[in-house]
Amino acid sequence: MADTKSAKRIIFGLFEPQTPLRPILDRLQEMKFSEESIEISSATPILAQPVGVGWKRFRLVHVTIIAGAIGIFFGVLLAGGTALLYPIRTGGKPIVSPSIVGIISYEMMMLFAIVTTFITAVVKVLRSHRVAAEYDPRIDEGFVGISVLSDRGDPRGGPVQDLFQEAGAVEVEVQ
Amino acid sequence: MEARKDFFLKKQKRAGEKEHWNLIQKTNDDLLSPMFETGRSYYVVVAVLSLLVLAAAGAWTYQIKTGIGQSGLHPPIFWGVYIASFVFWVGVSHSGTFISGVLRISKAEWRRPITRIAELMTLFSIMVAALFIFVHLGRVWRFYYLIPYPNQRQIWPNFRSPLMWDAAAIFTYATSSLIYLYLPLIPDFALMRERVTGWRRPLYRVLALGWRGTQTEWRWLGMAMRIITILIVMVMISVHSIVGFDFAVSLVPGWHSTIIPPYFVVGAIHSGMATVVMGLYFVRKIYRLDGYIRLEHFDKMGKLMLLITLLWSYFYFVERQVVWYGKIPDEMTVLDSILYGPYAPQHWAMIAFNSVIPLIALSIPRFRRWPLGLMIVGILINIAMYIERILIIVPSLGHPRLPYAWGRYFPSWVELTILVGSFSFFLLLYVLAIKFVPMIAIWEEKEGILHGRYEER
Repeated sequence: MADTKSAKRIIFGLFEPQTPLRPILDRLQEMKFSEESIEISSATPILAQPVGVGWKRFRLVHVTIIAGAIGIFFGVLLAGGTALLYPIRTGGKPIVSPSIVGIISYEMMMLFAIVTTFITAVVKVLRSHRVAAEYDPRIDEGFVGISVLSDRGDPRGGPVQDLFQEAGAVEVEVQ
Repeated sequence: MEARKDFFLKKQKRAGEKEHWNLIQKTNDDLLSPMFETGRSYYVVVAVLSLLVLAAAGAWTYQIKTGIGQSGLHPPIFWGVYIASFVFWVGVSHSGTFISGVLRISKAEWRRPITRIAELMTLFSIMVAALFIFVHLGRVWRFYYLIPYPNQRQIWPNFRSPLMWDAAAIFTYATSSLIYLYLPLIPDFALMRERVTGWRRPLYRVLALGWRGTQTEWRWLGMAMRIITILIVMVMISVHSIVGFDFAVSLVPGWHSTIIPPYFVVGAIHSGMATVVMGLYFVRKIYRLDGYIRLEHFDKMGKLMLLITLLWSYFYFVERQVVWYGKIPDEMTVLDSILYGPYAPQHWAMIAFNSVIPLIALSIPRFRRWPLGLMIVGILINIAMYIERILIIVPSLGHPRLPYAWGRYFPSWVELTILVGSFSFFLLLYVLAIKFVPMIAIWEEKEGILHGRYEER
């Protein structure tokens, strides 16, 4: 993270909500900035798909399914493993029946799936901060921010700032 | 990429219109104001509720010190107010999950001012419900017997006991509810961290997870919420089914029925929705949020309540009718005591409050748009649902198969104090939460503005 900060810079432009952003995004693409290096900040989710990192490679639901499967395994061990670890028998029957293993496994499946999904989403949110500029409180009042990640020595930095100014940015900042 | 941009630009254009922009700023101010405006009456309410909670804590301490015999629980009735309260509060906890979850899944626009109120109720009521497990244990210091871990005693929790199913289900549900409440709060915590001072600021800074409002963050949040919403609705159904199993898997007359688990789920949703309507009324009234919690919300909640009332009535009728038609003597003893015997007054009051009055009132469109009326119906339903929990437990346990063992039950002052304290604790948590989180999800409300749902404001 520290390396990224020292080697990279973020050019941030803050725009009033009515500013047409489409030409700015088109211009940034013409300047050969990749989708991964552009980020848009807003008070609500406004983009059907983000211009963010790694979406095509990662599906959160896969994590959920794997975690759920591990949860089932844990539940079986917890409830069913009891009969193996503590082999008390009542009336010649195992102390834990399949239906009870089913109930406990179901709950463990849900617990593991939900907690893992949550933790993964939190980690992904935290990791996404590499591309975006620091939070600006005005975004929550309706303003829209555009962050562009580039190398410190990238000659396109100046033109990006000019582009933001020409497009009517309220503020342009380099972080 | 082109389609993405067009979608974005459509919304951006709407946000840029002056009317919408003003609304976005007004929404921030209006919905944050309950957190910053604190009148004297607020402190009075907190003080009174705290005193009642302290009284309940004192009663519980007394019970721990002197034994569970201080309750009215005596042979043959070993379940009373504590288990009834546990079942009741688990039921109330279904409010958030059902209303918030189902409405989110169905993408109902009118959910926006309701979800946070409902989700908070879920978390707080499941906390109160979990407390009653410990109260009911009596020897509460031995609660760790419920936790499975290798030990020298060579004793492992008995998973055949429905109490263990409850422990697993409640733990899962409480954890999931906390996550489900927290996720949509993250953008609101980010909004608040810039607007508060003092001890709350560093706290919100941590809770906001460095939120910056980027589309990538929104996407992850949305994806996680979509997945967890579906899962938590499944957990909700399982939790109250398991609470229903507590009764249904036993051979006690009146309990051993296949319809009990789904009947419990419907009953839980019934009381949960009634509680949400009460919450909506008070939040709207006290903090003058008429522009956000509008009559259309009460109307739609009223329609949902009508549907659930019909469902509950149907389940109840089916259960009673089948028992009555079978005429099995042990079952009939219990049923007779409820329909015509010592529990008849409570039973018929319950039917009136739970079914007859809501069915009539909620069928009238004008009534559904009367917040006070809907709140009163909510109170009646909750009173009735509590009576119903008592009527499930006490008459069945009071009439074992051998008549010489029949008994009666009335809660002791200890139980009643803890009962009052539990309601106070729930309310206290809620009242305190008003100063800590916005009662209406601010970003969801703003999203509604961009979706064009602002006409009636």
